[in-house]
Amino acid sequence: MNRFDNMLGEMCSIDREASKEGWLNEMHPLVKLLVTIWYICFVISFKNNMLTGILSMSVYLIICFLMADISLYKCLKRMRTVLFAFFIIGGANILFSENFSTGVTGAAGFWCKGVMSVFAVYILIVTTSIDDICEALRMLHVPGLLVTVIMLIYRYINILIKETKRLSESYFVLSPGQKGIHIKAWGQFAGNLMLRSIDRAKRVYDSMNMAGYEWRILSGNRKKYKLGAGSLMWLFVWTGVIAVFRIIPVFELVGNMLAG
Amino acid sequence: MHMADALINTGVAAVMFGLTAGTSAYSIHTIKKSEEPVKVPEMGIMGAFVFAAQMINFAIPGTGSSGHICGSMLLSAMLGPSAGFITMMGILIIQCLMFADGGIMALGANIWNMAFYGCFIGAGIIWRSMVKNGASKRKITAASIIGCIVTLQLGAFSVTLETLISGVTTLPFKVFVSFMQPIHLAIGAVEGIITAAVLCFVFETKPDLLWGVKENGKKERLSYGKVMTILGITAIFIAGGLSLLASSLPDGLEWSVERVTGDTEIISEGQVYDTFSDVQDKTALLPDYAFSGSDSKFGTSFSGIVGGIAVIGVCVLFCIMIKVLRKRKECNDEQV
Repeated sequence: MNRFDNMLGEMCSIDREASKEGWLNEMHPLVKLLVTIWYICFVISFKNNMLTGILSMSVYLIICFLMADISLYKCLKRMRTVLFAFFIIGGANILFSENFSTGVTGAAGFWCKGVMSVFAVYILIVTTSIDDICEALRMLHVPGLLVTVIMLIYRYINILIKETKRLSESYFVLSPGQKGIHIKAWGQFAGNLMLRSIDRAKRVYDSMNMAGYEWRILSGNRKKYKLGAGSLMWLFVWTGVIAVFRIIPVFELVGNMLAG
Repeated sequence: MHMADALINTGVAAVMFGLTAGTSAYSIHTIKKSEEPVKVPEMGIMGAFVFAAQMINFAIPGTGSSGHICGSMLLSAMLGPSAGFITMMGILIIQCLMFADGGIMALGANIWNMAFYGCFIGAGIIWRSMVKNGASKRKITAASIIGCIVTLQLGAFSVTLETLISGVTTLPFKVFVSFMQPIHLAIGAVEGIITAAVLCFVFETKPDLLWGVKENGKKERLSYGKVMTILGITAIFIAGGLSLLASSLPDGLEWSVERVTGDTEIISEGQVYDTFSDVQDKTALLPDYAFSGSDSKFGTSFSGIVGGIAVIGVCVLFCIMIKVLRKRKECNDEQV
């Protein structure tokens, strides 16, 4: 149960962060999504041994982290599993490269690309709520059914977790002193949970339908999703800056100027 | 099996997005065309169920590794392949955009690897063919285990291929395959058992919730012989197919040796030792060189470091300045 509690806590925490007032949080969701995709495209287009170029792309991350007051510690903590996977796969480059130095360079480039793309997605998720992301998807003409399913999955997780708690409490009352759910009861427990959750979800959905819901997404607050000048500027500036940093070795040029 | 962005290049990502978009368009078209009402609440809650189930990792005995269920087979056995695919897409999009589990660029590939095979091959072909004449607990168990194993093997193999075609890692194909396939065989077996347990319970309690099960069909029992034949054919297909594929490609060690020495012949033990000492020699020589694989020469690297520090410094200063100005503005606003 602790894992479910932690999961729910984590979801609430991300939701809170995404919903708080902030300059980047209030940016248009479609713009944030497009800039993130654009950024990741350019980051992963670098070859693994082009370390200076890859590192120059960190400018976007640094600015976003600082401007939006995003905690680097929390980011590392939340993304630790993905980052660990990068560490393992990147390490394979050292073992299978033709020489050690190439392998290390390749691994370092791979790690940097991986970490930077994960950080870019993290910036998006802690500054954009699920409703905003769904609206951005609708603007990209993603089918309404898919967007509805995404929203319902996210909202129903809460129902499912509550139902799990209720079922497990009744199980432990019936089986006092037992550590965990017995393996023989797993199928019955999971099946029961699923059927009960389906019934509850249907009731919720029926209530939504009675209130006038009909596959319509976020029709209430269109003004909120109007593309403002700030959002457009953010889009054009970052599209340009990211492309420039990809094409021109900015770090080396500035270094040459400073070092004479 | 969630791939990150760094494991895939832009070209492969685009192709996988195209395939996924095509499949999702087909799925939505099929759902809309169907005479049955769209099971939106079922899709939502089943999606939440699989989403939560993916959070629970189980240990793979003897490997020191762990895995989680994929869930596409379970979804499709309840909702049908098309609705299952759309639901699985929803789960993967949430995981990507809300939890950064799997990259945005790799989203198309992840959907293909984790949803397509499970929904359209696992449920659309294996599940359907086994339960179309009426279901029984044995049939459900056999379909779930075979379906999960086959589809996870296909998914894991796709991950290997996509990474290899992307050229992002020097890990040889056979080595990667030898890591990916056996571990996903074990995960597939465990997932199959879990899926079977849940579906058997649903079959006993509310059989009408299962997809593709003929309600008043002939209650055929699947004989042990048939189960063993199907399992045998699957095993031969997977093992035989993979070994044929693997045998046409160089061994991981061979590949490494060939890359280092330029010799394609299988080498004796002594030569392997030589190879290792060669690698050691190279390692020992490292202090005399900059990273030889890098395009940057020492001077350029130095410039890069200086320039990098300068540019990042300017960025940090810029941000601090903006924040100070914003705070001042807020203070002024409060005073007013």
